[in-house]
Parts: sequence; structure tokens; C-alpha cells
Amino acid sequence: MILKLLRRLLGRRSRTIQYPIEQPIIPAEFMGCPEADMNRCDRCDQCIASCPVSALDFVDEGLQLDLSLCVFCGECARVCPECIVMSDKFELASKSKEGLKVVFTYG
Amino acid sequence: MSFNDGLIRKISSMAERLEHRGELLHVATSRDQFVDLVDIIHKVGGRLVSLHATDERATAESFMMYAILDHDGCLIEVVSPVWDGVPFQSLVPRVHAANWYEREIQDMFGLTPHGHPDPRPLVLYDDWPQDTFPLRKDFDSSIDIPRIPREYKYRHMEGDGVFEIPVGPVHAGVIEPGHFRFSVAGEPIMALEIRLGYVHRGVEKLSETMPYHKGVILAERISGDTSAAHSAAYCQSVEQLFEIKAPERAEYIRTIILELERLYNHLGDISGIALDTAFAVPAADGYVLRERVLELNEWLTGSRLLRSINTIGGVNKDIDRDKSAKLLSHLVDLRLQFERLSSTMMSSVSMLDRVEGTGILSKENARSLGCVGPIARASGVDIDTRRDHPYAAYPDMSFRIPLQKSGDVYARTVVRIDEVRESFAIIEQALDRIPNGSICTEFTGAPIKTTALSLVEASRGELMHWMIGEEEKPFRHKIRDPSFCNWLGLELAVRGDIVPDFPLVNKSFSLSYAGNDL
Repeated sequence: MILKLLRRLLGRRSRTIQYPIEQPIIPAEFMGCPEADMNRCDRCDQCIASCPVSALDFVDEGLQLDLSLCVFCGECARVCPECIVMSDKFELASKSKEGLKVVFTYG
Repeated sequence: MSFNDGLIRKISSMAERLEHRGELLHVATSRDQFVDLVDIIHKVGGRLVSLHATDERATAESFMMYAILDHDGCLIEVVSPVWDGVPFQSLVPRVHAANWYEREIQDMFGLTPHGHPDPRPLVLYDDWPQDTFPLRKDFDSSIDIPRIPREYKYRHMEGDGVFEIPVGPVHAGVIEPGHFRFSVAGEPIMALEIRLGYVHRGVEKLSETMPYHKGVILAERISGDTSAAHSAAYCQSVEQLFEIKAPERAEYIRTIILELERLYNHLGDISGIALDTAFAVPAADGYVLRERVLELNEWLTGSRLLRSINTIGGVNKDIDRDKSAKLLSHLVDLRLQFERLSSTMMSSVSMLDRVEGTGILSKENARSLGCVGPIARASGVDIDTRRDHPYAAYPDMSFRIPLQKSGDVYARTVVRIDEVRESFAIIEQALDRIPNGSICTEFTGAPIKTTALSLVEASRGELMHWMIGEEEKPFRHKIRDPSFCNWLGLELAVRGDIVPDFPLVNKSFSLSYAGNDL
């Protein structure tokens, strides 16, 4: 009985990982930071209109996403699957509010 | 489902207009007849589902008050006008369940119930100005509201050795804010008064500004752990307005998602009850199971809390053959683990000693307050929206509705344990029978109908979304979370119990603050 228990305990793998040295396995459906491929963008505004929190906007260089507003709902990727995908990126922290603004540039 | 002829005759003698709108019987009546009419339906066993107002001064030159009742599986909507400055006769002396609804109407619309036994504010902050009513159409949400200090009057109990214990609104641990005031004489609780509204965000007003497709995302965020049920209810009401129907495959996926939500919530609640009886081993095991369901959710849909799945006209994510097979195999394992957990819990004498006879909510009280969900079923009230007003793929599912009679913490635990088993079975049936086809119909055009009512059985009980639709967005969107019906049940259930039992009773009720406060 005790031997059995010991064997089971010794055989048990660690349930945690050595993050950030080891990277977690991210499920395929995961909805991380939206990413836009601006080469395919025809500036139709649909993604901007679909965003419930107005996190997207066009700037001179391309499409700007404000991560301080984004709720990762995936609406933009749903209305424009040609350009926008919900990537598996989850490490999005920044030290400044400006740093949370991501710009997807043309070309 | 058929209406009782005698009742119909009675109703039509008092009604100005009677109209069948699908499942719903719409009855327009005069202000004088409103209370009598609702009372008649209530007396023959009608349950108040919701009571709410709308500001239709622009079209009908008055406010309108809607009472929705469920009588034997038939939904009856009684509507009458209410005028600004003229107090309306309160329903509460005859239909107790109307209590909080009328106080909410008073706060949000400035319509005063005449004869209400307790007309204190309910939803808005204590220092909200008394002449500003957020759900009126002329309310400007862009201006800052001045704060006018005002004191909320609590009920006081007086006597030798009677003490008050205020708890909250800020609690230890990561739970939501709410104030509890106990009047105690020694250890036993003589009375509890609950004050909520600390997480009022103006969801209903906000929804009136959100186009339908964005409203889904708002609905998902009304109450964090009920996102699938709220979004399903919202989508179903918009689908009714536009007269579109989600494809059958989408209805099955919705059913699976809704049951997964019930699973992780019930597993969390069962573990919470174990934890609050200081029974740490099954609590830890239960939380592991809950986490496994959450991870399963993420793997299946990309969202641990099942967000962004429901959309108007169907669902966003498909469950393909591979996923279905893997989900099934996980369910088999979860089931085994869960049976081990429930037998550990239910065979422990010390645990049973703590939960049996604690926090009793009688059947009469549960009925008269209009309690819903597992709380009502644990007190012997046989209601379940999945059976009474089936939606999604529930008409094709076979499942049992667990009932208990004792109404104590034990009964609420057993009901949840049995419902977990049923959820496993429903998911398996749905995965087994899921038809092929598309998962979403296109959502275009203009609304065809003006009002919609959608009921969903969330993990906490019956959830209602009611809507008057306009072209782009709702004109009025009433949300009635199950917690709104159950909070007063908690006040009654703890009476006579000792203070240290309150956390346990509270956990067994497992109520949402955000869903209640809106």
C-alpha cells in the first residue's frame, strides 16, 4: 500500500512549467492579440465599425490597435478574416500607456 | 401548452386587447385593472417572471409597465400605461415577488409605487440625485451626475442584547461587493438585510446605445461566469426580432456550450460548499475538476469563460469530429473523478452534520419570492426553463430535473451534484446527435417584430432578456438575471442560523452581484 503510494508520488510529473524559460502550450483556438496583415487591407473600415470598444483606428502609418481598450472578442477577425487573425500572442504588457498602442504598418 | 379556458375568459373580460404573439399571450389593460389582472393570474399559480417599465412617452404619451407571468408553461405579458407624477398602485401587498422590481422601476424611471411596504432606493448609489432617472429617454448619459449625500436607512432591530454586525461592501477574497447587515442576539441571526447595487454599471441604458452585433459582446460581460447564457439569451431575442433562425447545428453547439457553463459553475459551487465546511480535500479536488472544464472550454472555443461563441444567427466556432471525440473522452474521465468527489463529500458525517438543516428556505417562501434555478428546486419548486420553455436543442434532449424538498444547504448541494450528472449526459447526447450543416445564418435586414422575450436556464436559474427593437439597436432592453429573484431568499434562509453558518448558506445560494446590479 505505502510502496504503491510512494511509487505513484515519485512518478508524478510537475504540473507547472518554468515560465518564461519554457513556453506554455497554447490551444489552437486561443484568442490572443489581433494581428492585421496590411498588405491585404483595402481600408474598408469594417473592422473599425465592428469593434465594440473602438480600439481600432486608421493612422498615417497603418492600422492602430489600442490594447488598453481591446477586449479580445475577435469581432474584427470575424468580419475581415482576409486581413485580421487572432494570434496566439499573450505577452502584451507594457510600461507605458503609449506602449499599448500597436500599429500594423502598410507594406 | 394550452391556456386554461376559464382563465382566458376572466382575462379577456378585464383586458382592452388580447393578442397571441407566438408563445406569448399579450394582454393590454387599463391602469386600474392591472393589479387585479396580475393578481388573478398569480392566484391560479402564475409565477412572476419579470416586472419592468419602458419610457414610451414619445409614441404612447405615457410610460408602460409590463408584467410577465408564467402560468403552467404559458407566458402571459400584461401591459398597462403609467403616467409621470401619478403614483401607480403597488403589486407587492398581493404579489410579494414584485418587491424589488417596483423599487427598481422607482429608481430607474421615477415612477412611485403607491402602497409599497418598503419604497427605499434599490439599485442606484446612495448619493445619486433624487430627481435623475437613468432609464428615461430624456436622460443624458454624457453629462456628469452631481453627487448629493444621502443616507440609506437600514431596518433596525432593538432590544436588550441585540447587536448589529455590518459586513462589507468590501470583502476579504476575490468576491464582488455587497453589504450585509446582521441583527443578532447572541450567535443566532435574527434578521439579515442585504444592500446591493455597488456594481451597477447601467448595462440596460448602455445596451440602448449598442447596435445588435455589439450588444452580444456587452451581454457576455453582464455577469462574468454566465457569459454563455447571457449571450445566448440576447442572441435569441434578436433572432426573434429579425425572425431568423439559427441552424440546427448551431443550436446543438449552443446547448453544449450552455451545459459546459453549468458544469464549471456547479463544480465551483460544490467545491465552495465543501471548502466552507472546512472539508479541504474534496474542495481541492473539485476545484481541479472545475479548472479542467475551464481548460477544456479554452481548448474547444478559445475562451475559458465561453465568450465570443454565441453570435446573432448561430455560433462562431464549430465542434468538428476530432474535437467531439476528444471532448467525449475527457467527459468520461471527468465523470469518474466527479463520482469519486461526490461520494467523498456525501459520505462524510462531519460534512453532512454541517449542511443538513442549515439555511432552510421553505417551499412557500421560495414560491412567494419567485425564486428560480437550483435554489427553487432544492426547496421543492419544480421549475426548469429547459423543460418548461425549451430553446436551443433542449427539445431533443432527454434529462431529469433533480428535485429536493428540505430546502437546506444539503438539498442545494445534492441538486447541484445531480445537475452535474445531467449536464454530462446532455453534452454526450448532443455530441452524439449533432447534425451536419452550417453553424450560422446571415444576420441582415430590418427587424420584423417589435418585441422579443427569451428565457434561458443559466446555471443559477431562469434568465430573461426582453427587448423592444428598433432598426439598429434595442429601444429598451430588460435583463433579469436569476440572482435578482434569489437574493431575498437568502435573507429568509439565514434566519435562526448562527453567524458562522452565513458564509456556507451564502455559498450554497451562489448569487451574482453584477448580474443583479446590472
